[in-house]
Amino acid sequence: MSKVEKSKVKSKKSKGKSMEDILTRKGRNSRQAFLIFAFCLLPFAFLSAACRQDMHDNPRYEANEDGANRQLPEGTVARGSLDLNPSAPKVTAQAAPVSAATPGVTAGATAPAAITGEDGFPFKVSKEILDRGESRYNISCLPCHGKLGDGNGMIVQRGFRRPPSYHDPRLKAAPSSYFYDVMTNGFGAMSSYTDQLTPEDRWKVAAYIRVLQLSQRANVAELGEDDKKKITEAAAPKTETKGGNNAPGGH
Amino acid sequence: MPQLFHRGMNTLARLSIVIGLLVAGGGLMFVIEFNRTPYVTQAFQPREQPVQFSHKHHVGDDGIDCRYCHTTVETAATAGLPATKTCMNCHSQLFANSPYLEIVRESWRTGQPIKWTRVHDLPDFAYFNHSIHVNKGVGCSTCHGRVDMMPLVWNEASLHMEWCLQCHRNPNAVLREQKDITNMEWVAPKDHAEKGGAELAKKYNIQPKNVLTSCSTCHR
Ligand code: HEC
Ligand code: HEC
Ligand code: HEC
Ligand code: HEC
Ligand code: HEC
Ligand code: HEC
Repeated sequence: MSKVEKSKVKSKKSKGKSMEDILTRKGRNSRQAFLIFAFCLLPFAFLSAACRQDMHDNPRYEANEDGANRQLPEGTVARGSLDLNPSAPKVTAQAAPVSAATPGVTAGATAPAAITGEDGFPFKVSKEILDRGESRYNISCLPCHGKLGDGNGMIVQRGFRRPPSYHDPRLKAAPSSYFYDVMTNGFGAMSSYTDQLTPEDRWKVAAYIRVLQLSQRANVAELGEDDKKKITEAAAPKTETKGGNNAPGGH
Repeated sequence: MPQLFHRGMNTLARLSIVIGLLVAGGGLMFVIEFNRTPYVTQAFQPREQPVQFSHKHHVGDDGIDCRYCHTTVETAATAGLPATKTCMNCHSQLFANSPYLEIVRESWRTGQPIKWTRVHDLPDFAYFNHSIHVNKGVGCSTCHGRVDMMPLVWNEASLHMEWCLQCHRNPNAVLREQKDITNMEWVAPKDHAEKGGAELAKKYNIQPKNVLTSCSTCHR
């Protein structure tokens, strides 16, 4: 039986065309044959698609496109960073570093009503604000000033100049705006943190530093029951401060 | 017309069709799978950088938080690469004469930013935003792996669309508390997707799957 005859018999048997029919019939279905041929070429179309880059790199300029942090041109102010807190006391580079000996500031500093919002903070201090301050402190300051603010952070242990402890009487007496000032303008070996902290966050960090200071001189009588218990438990074996230097992203 | 071919050739002809299809299909599979290999996606390949900056030292050993340097990761689409000044916060004193830091000091003197080699780079037709992921509880290590163990950064994922989608279909399993966002050691507790993760999804108000997998979420 010739090939043609065979396929005729088959197509009588079933009305629908089976794949075999299509493929074995000569000449008649050249269109279908072409389609199948084209189908076989499809993989190569995918291969070539992988090489098209023009949609991957649009002409528009993206942040970090050339892998570099672009600097602010001189004399420009980033959006939203000018006068963020019009109500805040203007602290400038000229503000004299405050020490307990400076007359005039001691008055406000003797009773640092720290966390009440009367210490020059541009907002009413609340738990949310302190939480934010804590997280920003742990990110930006902890590497050097340490978890407790005693100036014994990891970077200091690696050889950086040791900052004074926040529990130094001079810094306890300083107004909160002084901390804002140090963050804004830097101080000695410490550089300014303006490009890492927004003005608002700087105030929140200052508020958190107040908390740290309080935490080290809290009056046991004023504490809640839970805290009292924790202290008596901790007091027994403990002599040194547990200066955990683990940043949240650390070990 | 005399028969040209031996009758057995019929079988061979049919067989060759089957084999041809198999080869074509196999080729297609190969291309698709090949595209997923690290060879093509460049995953797990550390990239040489102009300065031998090591996340292992800075994050792993010194415990610096990611956000000390990648300051905009919570507020903007890009995580941002640190300015030279950020390096100088410490390296004005530490290793101030190290030859490894010469490029940093030169950049500081001239004001020309250091040009880092990009590790991750999505095609421009795909929209990605760090801030929404970070603020809705997807931590760095979920996508970038243990950066604190990388002397030079490599890419932990293919960054293919299927990688984005496998998470967008069910993000509950990877959600964490805000305090753990940059914690490199965080691993999902057992049954996280059903228990803790589901609760967090409610807290973060995670959008339904059909929104997160809709084309216009990422191609806009
Ligand atoms: C790279 C390490 C480093 C980091 C990070 C750092 N500091 Fe300092 N800081 C220092 C050093 C060193 C000094 C002492 C400077 C000196 O005396 O020259 C200092 C001093 C200070 C002082 C005391 C100034 C005085 O009157 O003695 C304050 C307040 C302060 N830092 C606040 C902060 C705050 C807030 C942050 C976080 C935003 C921060 N620092 C981050 C290193 C650091
Ligand atoms: C001391 C500053 C610093 C800290 C802290 C830091 N990084 Fe980086 N990071 C850099 C610099 C500089 C680069 C660019 C050079 C490179 O790719 O290695 C970078 C690059 C990266 C890249 C690759 C960027 C690209 O080109 O695609 C990722 C991802 C990354 N960092 C994630 C993290 C994570 C996650 C953390 C916290 C665990 C972290 N970084 C902490 C400075 C830092
Ligand atoms: C918070 C402080 C800090 C910051 C910010 C910082 N480093 Fe470092 N860097 C260190 C410390 C500490 C070491 C020593 C690491 C170790 O041995 O554990 C170091 C080591 C290095 C070394 C190796 C130096 C040597 O001679 O071995 C290089 C290179 C380096 N850092 C580059 C950078 C770059 C680039 C940046 C800015 C993106 C940067 N660092 C930002 C603290 C810092
Ligand atoms: C949902 C996944 C995901 C999470 C979570 C994530 N990233 Fe990324 N990251 C990416 C992708 C995707 C890119 C590539 C973006 C591009 O090319 O546009 C990237 C790029 C980067 C870059 C390169 C610079 C840039 O902004 O493009 C840095 C640095 C970075 N990530 C750091 C971080 C840090 C730090 C965290 C945690 C706070 C983090 N990432 C969390 C997916 C993620
Ligand atoms: C590990 C999980 C995970 C991965 C991987 C991931 N995402 Fe997401 N993505 C999320 C979650 C969770 C949200 C928050 C959903 C919401 O807004 O409710 C989100 C939100 C988004 C949004 C904002 C949606 C909106 O409503 O505006 C975009 C855009 C996005 N992702 C793009 C991407 C892209 C592009 C990739 C791949 C490069 C990616 N994501 C990878 C978990 C992930
Ligand atoms: C979660 C984010 C996300 C969603 C949702 C999404 N895509 Fe994508 N898509 C991507 C990313 C990221 C890429 C780039 C992948 C790559 O680089 O290989 C991409 C690439 C593509 C490409 C190009 C593929 C290539 O190899 O060049 C096409 C076409 C595409 N997407 C279509 C779609 C369609 C259609 C939908 C809706 C059904 C969709 N995408 C939904 C993230 C997404």
